[in-house]
Amino acid sequence: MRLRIKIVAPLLCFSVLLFAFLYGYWMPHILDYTEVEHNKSLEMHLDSVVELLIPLLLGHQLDAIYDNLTSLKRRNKDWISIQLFTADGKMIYPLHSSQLPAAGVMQHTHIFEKPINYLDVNLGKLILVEDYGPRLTAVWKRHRELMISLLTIIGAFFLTVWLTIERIVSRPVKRLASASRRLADGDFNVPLLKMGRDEIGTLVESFSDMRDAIHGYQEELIQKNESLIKLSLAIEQSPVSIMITDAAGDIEFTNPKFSEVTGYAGKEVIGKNPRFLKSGDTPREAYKTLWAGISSGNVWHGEFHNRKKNGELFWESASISPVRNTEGIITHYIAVKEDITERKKLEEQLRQSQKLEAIGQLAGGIAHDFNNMLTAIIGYAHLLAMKIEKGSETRLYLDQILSSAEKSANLTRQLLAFSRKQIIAPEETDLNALIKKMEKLLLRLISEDIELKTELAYTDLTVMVDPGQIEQVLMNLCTNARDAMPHGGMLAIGTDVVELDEACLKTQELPGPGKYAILSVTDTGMGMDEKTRQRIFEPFFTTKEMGKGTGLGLSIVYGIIKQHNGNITVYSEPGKGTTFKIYLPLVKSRNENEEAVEVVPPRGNAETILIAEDNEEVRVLTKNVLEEYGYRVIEAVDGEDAVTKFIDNKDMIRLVMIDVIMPKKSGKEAVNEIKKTKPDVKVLFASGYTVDIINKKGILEEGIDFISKPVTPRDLLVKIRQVLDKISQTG
Amino acid sequence: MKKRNHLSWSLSIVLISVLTAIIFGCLELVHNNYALAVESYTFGVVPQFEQRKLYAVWKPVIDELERRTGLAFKLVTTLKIQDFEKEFLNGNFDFVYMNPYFMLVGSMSQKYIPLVRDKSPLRGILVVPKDSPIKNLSELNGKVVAFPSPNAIGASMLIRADLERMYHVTVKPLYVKTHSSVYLHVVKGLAAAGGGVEKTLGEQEQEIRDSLRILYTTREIPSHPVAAHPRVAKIDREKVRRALLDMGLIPEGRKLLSRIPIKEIMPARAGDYAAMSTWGLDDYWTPYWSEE
Repeated sequence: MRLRIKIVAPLLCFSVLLFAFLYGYWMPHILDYTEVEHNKSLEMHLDSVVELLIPLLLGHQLDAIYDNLTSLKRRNKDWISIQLFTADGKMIYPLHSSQLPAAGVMQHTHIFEKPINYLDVNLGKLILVEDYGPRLTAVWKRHRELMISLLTIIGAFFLTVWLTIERIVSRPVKRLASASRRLADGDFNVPLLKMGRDEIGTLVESFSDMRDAIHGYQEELIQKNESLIKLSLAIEQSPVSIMITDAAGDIEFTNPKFSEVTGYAGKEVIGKNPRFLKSGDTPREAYKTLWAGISSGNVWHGEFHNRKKNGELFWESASISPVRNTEGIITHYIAVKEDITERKKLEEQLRQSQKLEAIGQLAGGIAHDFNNMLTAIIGYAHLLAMKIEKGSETRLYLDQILSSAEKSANLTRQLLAFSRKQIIAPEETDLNALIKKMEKLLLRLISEDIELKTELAYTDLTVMVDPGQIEQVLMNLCTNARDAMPHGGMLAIGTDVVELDEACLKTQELPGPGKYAILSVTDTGMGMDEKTRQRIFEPFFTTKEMGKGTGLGLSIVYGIIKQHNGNITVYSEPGKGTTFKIYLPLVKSRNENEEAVEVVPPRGNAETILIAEDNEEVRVLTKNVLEEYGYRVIEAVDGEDAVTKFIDNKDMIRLVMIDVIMPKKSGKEAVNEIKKTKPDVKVLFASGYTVDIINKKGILEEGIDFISKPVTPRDLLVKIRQVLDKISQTG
Repeated sequence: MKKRNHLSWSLSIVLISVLTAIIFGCLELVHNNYALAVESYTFGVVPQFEQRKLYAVWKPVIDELERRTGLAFKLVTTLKIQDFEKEFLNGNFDFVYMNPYFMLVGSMSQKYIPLVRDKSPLRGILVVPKDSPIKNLSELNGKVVAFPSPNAIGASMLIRADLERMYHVTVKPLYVKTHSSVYLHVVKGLAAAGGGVEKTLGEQEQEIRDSLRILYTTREIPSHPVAAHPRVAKIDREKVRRALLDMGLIPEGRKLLSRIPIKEIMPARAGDYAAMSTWGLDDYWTPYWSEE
C-alpha cells in the first residue's frame, strides 16, 4: 500500500466516521437541542409578552394589546397565530380567528399556551401557534452548511495533506524507489537532486552517499568478481585436475577435469579423503613423505599411480601446496594434478623407439661395412664366374661362394631393412590389390587349421610403398601369427582408412595429419604380456624355440614401415591374441599402370668416368665392371684426389661417380669444386646410406642422381647409362 | 504732511478692523443665545393613540416643523391622559396638541394660545357592533359602554352628558384609555357600545370600521388645537403656526397632518372653543387629581 494511502486512509476513515457522526447523531441531536432551546426561549419570550399584557389587560388598553401583539406577530414570521383569550374564554385578539395551515404544513408547528395571571386572578390566556418548519429548515440548512463547510475544510485539509505528502514524501520516496530499482538494475547514473534540509532531504542525501558507496563497492566487487570468474573459469576449464581439501585432507572442491580424469562426479567426492583414488602401486612411504612435506608448509611435487572409478589405472603428476589464512595457519591444501598416462606411454614409446633406433644404427653400421665387403666378394665372384665356364668344379665352388655371399647379403639387407637403410623403390600401390594377390601365398604359408579372413575396405587405398617390402611385411606378420596359433585359430587381415589429426598423432609416430591406410593383422593366438610386447621389434628378440626364428622378422617389419613413413602398433592380451596395425600415408592414385621395364645392363661407348671412392675394394670392383662394359675409368681415392683428377682430365670425363662420404673432402665439396671447372658435368652420388638419410643430414640436395650401395653390377650399369643419357640441364 | 496722511490711513484701517471684529462677535453671540433658546421647546401631544403609533404619527411632523422653523422641539407625551392633563395644567409644555375641552381648562390656568386646528369639526359618536341588536340608545341602559377616558370631550364627556341628560340612559362606563381601544372593545364584545369621535373612527382599519355601526352622533366640537404657552416668544409661535399652515398647502404636508388627524388645517383662535363653556360639561370633567 502506498504511503499517502496509508496516511490518508485513516484520515478518510476518520472523515467518514465524522460525517456519519455528524449526520447520524450530531445533526438530529443538535436539531432537537435547538428546538428545545428555541422552545425555552420562546416560552421566556411569551412570559415577557404576558408580563406586558397584564397591565394592558388590567387597563383595558386593547389597542395597545393589538398593536403589541400585531407587532410581535409581524416580527415573528414563523408565528402562525397568536390568540389572546379572556378568563371566560372570549378571544379578544385578533379580530378574527385565523385559519391554521393544512395538516401537512403543520408538521412542525408548536403550540404554546400561556395563562395570564395576576395576583392569583386569571386574566385570560395567550395561545401561540408557531410554524417551526422554516426555523427547523433554517437550522438544518445552517448546520448542513456548517457540516459541508467542515467537510470541505476537512477535504481541503486532506487534499493539502495528500498533496503535501505527495510533494514532500511520496514524490521523493517514489524517486528514491525508482532510483533503487535503477540501482538494482545496475544503473548508477541515477539523478538524485537535493531536496532541502528536512528528513527527506537527509534521506535522499544519505541514499546518494549510499549509491556512491555501493557504486564504489560494486566497481571493486565487479573487478574482484571478474577476477574470481577468471580464476573460476580457469579452474573449471583447467586442463589439469584441481582438488582442494581442508586441513584434514577431506575434499572440498574438485574441478570438472578431475571428474573427467577419475570418473568421479564432484558431488561423490566432496567430504571424502582422496585415498579412494589409491591403486596400491604408490608406496606407502611416498604418502608419508607427502603429508610430512605439505603439513610442514612445503610444496610437494610427485607422481601417483592411481585408480579411476572404472578401475582403470592412470598416472598423475601432482603438485600439492598448503593454503594459509591471514594468520598463517594452514586451512586448505590445493592439489594440481595432470594426467600423464599418455605421456608415460609416449615416453615408453619414445624410449622403445630410441632403443630401436640405437639398435638400428648399430645394426645398420655393421651391415654397411659388411655390405661393402660383400659387394667386393660378390662382384669379384661374378667377374670370376664370367671367366669360368659353367659345370666346372671351380665354377661350382664359385657358385657356393656366391650363394653364401648372397645369403650374407640377404642378412645384411634384412639388417639394413630394420635400420631403414635398405634401398626401397616406392611406387603407387593399391593395398587391397596387393593383399588379394598375396592371399594364395599366405594360405600356403599358414596351416590348414588356421582360417584366413580378409576384410578389405571398399575404397581406394593407394599408398606409396615398395610392394615387395610390404609383401615382406605381410609375410613376416602372417608367419608370426601362424606361430602364435600352434593349435589353429583365425588370422584376419583387414584394411581401412582413417583420418588422423594432430591429437591422434600424439600417440602415433607419423609424419603429419592426413588420411592413412590401415593394414591390420589379427590372430587369435596366445598373445603376449606387456614386457614381451615392449621388446618384440628389437632385432634378434624372439620367444620362439632356439633355431626356429632369427628374431629379425618383426624388426624388419618395423624398419620397412618406418622407412615408408608409416607406423606400426601392437595390441595384445595373453591368451586372447594379438593385433598389429600398420598406418601408411594414402596418396592419390594416378590410375596409371606403368609398364615394368626390363632393365638390361647397357654397355658404354667408351665414355670416361671418374670414380671417387675411398673404399678400395668397392672402387676397384666398380672400375672393373665399368671397364668390362665398355667404359674408361679414372680412379680417385678421396675428395681432393677427385678434384685434381677431374681438373687434369676435364675434357675427357663425361661422368663423375663419387662417394658421398670420403676423407679430406666429402663428395659434395668435391663436386662443388669440380662444377666450378665444368658446371655441366654429370655426377652420380653413391653411398651406403639411403638417399632419405643423406637428405635428412643435409649432405645432398634434392634431385641429384644417387645410387645406394651395395649395388649389383647390372643396377650400376643401368644407372650409369641413365645418367649419361640424361639431357644435360645446361645443354 | 505726507507722513501725517499715512498715519491717518493706518489708524483708520485699524479702527475699522476692530469695529468689524466687535460687530461679528456680537452677532455670533446673539446667534448662539438664540440657538440655545430654540433647543428647549417641548411639544406635548395628548396620548390619543398608543405611544408607538403616536410617536410614529408625530415624529415626521415635528421633524418637518423643525426644518421649516429652524427651531428644535422635544416631542413629549404621557402614558396616561391624566398624566398629560397634569403636565398640561402645570404648564410644562411649550407647545401642545390637546383636547378641545383642555383649551377651556387650560385657558383658565396657563392661558395657552391656540395656533392652528383642523377645519372640520369634531363629532362624538357612540358605536355598537354592526350585528348588535341594539337599535336605540335606551337599550344601552345598564350596559357596559367603553370610553377612552372620562375627560375626552367628544368621545366621553359629551356622550355621557347626552345619554344622561337627553336620553336618561345610565350606562356602566369602562375607560379604556384610547379611542382605538374603545372600538376594539366594542368589536370584540367586551362592551355593548363605545364612545369615540368620527375622526378616530375614520382612522381605524377598514375591518374595524366595517364591524361597527354608529348608533349616535353628538354635536359638533371644534377640533383639537395646537397651542403654545405664552412664555414662548411670539415670533416662534408664529413660526410654528406659519409652518403648520404651510404644511397644509402641499400634499406631503397634508399627508403628514392627516395622520394627526388634521384633514384641513387652519388658524385657531381662543374664541373657537368658548362655546363649550355653555354646554355644562363641568359635571363630567374629572380632574386628574380626583383619580389619584
